[in-house]
Amino acid sequence: MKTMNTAHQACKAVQSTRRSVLAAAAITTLLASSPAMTWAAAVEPLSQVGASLPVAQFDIGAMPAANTWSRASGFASVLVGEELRTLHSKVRVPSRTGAIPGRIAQWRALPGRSDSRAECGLD
Amino acid sequence: MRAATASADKAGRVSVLVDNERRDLLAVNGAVADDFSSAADVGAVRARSVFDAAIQTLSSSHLIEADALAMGALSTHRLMQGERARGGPVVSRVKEYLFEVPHAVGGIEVFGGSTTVAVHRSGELASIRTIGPVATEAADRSMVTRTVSAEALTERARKEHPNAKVVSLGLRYPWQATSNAALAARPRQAFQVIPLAQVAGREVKGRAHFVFYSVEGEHVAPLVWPKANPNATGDLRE
Repeated sequence: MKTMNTAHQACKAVQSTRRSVLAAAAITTLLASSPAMTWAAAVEPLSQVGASLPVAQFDIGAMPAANTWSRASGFASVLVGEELRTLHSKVRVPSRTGAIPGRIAQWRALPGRSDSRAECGLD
Repeated sequence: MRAATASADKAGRVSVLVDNERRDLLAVNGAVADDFSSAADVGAVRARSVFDAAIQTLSSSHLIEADALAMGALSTHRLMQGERARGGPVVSRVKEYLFEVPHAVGGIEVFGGSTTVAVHRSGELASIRTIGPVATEAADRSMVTRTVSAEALTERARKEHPNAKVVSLGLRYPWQATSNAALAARPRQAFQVIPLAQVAGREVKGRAHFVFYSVEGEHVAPLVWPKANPNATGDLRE
């Protein structure tokens, strides 16, 4: 009987610990999802009839080439990190490509595609 | 010297694909993405922290705006690879952990707009892709005012699609569903419509499409995406 009681107590202790762990996990999840709650709060106004929201303005259409260059080189840098930036300072960029020195060295239209589609690579 | 050569190889295999019309930018690190043989697997938790760091860097570099991401709607996927040792069983394991975040304006998701970061199982970034336009508040400060409730639009969607399962998605800017900037700029009530049919006593689900109802007028025609092609002949293969 005593053994059973001890086992029961041990079981309760485990359950208590498990509850604590679950509670801690719930709090962590709540903290992790707090940005979503902020978003939900922002959406809330338009969920009611009569509520209003400012109209958005989308930048639709082809992006200017300079912006494309800037974004493409930025993404490439993020992808490969610091190591590549050091290397890039040593890269000689052929002037005919018109590329940003030390950044992306090739820029060519893909065959059969419009000018707005292009591929660039690091030299 | 060897490190410099390895670094040069790495640099040579980075490519960025751009489709300006769709605002689609895909940057791939070939040296990482083509790694099918490494034994390491950092796991989903570590991959998530690599993703968080990448978003932080993209944001601080002004390549994406952190408040234009619906982080609460982050979805995670795994790209698997199958392999088999000679004579052995087929084993699948993770190649990349994919983290996809929808784009949002003021907390409302932009339909079709997202940023996806692929973290290779080795813990390195394999690719980053972002699709969708940059959005700002309209210069004339005009407003969208809801005149039709979400419940009424849900009822309308079910009534107009009696032989389908209708899944409510909430409000969405219907960017991918229209090439009209003015239409894309006003959020609509979005639904996924899955056609249902009975074939030999079994329920069969058809290809889903999306409908977007205006919240500003109950008789406004919905946007539908993708649109059915009336000239489609189907798959002619036997």
